[in-house]
Amino acid sequence: MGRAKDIIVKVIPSQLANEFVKRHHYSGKVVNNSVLHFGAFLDGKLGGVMQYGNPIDKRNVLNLVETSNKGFNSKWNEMLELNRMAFAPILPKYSESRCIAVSIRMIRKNAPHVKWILSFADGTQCGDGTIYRASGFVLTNIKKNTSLLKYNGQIIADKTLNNSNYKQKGMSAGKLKKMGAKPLTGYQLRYIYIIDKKAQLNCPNIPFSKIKEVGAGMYKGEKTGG
Amino acid sequence: MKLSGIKPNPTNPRIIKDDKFQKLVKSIEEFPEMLEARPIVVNPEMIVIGGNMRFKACKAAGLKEAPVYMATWGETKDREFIIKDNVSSGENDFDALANEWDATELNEWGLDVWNPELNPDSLGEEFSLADGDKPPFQSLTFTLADEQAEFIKNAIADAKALEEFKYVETMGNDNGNGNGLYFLVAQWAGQRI
Repeated sequence: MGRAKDIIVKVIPSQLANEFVKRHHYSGKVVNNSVLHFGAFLDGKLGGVMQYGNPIDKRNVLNLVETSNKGFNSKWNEMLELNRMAFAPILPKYSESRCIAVSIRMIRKNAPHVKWILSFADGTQCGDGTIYRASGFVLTNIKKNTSLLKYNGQIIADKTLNNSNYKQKGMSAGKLKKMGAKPLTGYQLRYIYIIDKKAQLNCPNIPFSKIKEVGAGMYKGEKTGG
Repeated sequence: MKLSGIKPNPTNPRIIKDDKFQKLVKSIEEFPEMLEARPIVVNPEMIVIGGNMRFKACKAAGLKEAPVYMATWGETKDREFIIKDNVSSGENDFDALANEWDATELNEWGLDVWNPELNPDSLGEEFSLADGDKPPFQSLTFTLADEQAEFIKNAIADAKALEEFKYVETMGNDNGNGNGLYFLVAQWAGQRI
């Protein structure tokens, strides 16, 4: 693991996390629903950020995992989405998986009611989730991308278009598609990490080999295998 | 008006740190037109009751004159203004700032958003997250024409001013506009029965 074990993970303010993500995340954008921000420091310098929050479509994902909480209302706070992760090249190899492990340990300690973590790998622009697989996440869905749209050189998520800011401007995903926006080529991969050992997946646990089989492989923005 | 004829407020309750003051001076040097839109407010004794920091910064920036608004409200309202002028009701949406604005510019303009020199020893490892059931509240979003939105906002404001509004069934909701809307719709529903 080398120097990755020297990394210190701390809770950091959202302003700092957002600016770091904006500079280092491939999308150059932050998401608006993060509630917990971790910074990864090496030799006193901020080299990575992980942001956890609530999924935009929380109602649709709560049933992906069966837990001791029954019913929609009681399941409301039992999960988090790791919705942004950005690491600068100054951090050594294996930093990401180590930092994810440390952040989950901190969540387990400070928020023991959180039973599972959801995350998505963007196999259209970034990767198929190597880091998640190395961190103990299971693969639960591989979906051909229909939600990330490219229009006038800009990448826009259709979920973002459904928020009130865009609606106020009269913009919607359907309208943008009619104007010529096209979905990016590639796949979205859904990963889940179960923290509570009594919790069980309520969706398929897909073998990692399926990624290559369907041609969803991507590493650092380059298509692989398949 | 000449700055030499204006006096700072000796009882001004606001302070400014040196680095922020230097940013304000720089900001005035680079963008003096801003002062036209936000003049220094003085009382008839020419004592500053709004913009004490800008007044000091104008002098430090070497300005001899600056736009001034003279308020003749009387001492009670002057005191109220000194505080109200500096109350910030809104807050910054740092997600929007990060996405739509440039952090270097924001820092230069005096808004602290990015401090890469942060010492990790000064940061903690503890936090708390919402626990328990989903709160029994929800936000509804509608798209309205400007005129419709104004009409509804005015109706809610009028409803909240009524004596009966004090007795509206809030069901634990402390959002005034939400309760106002419920009050109006409940009245509408009552009329249809």
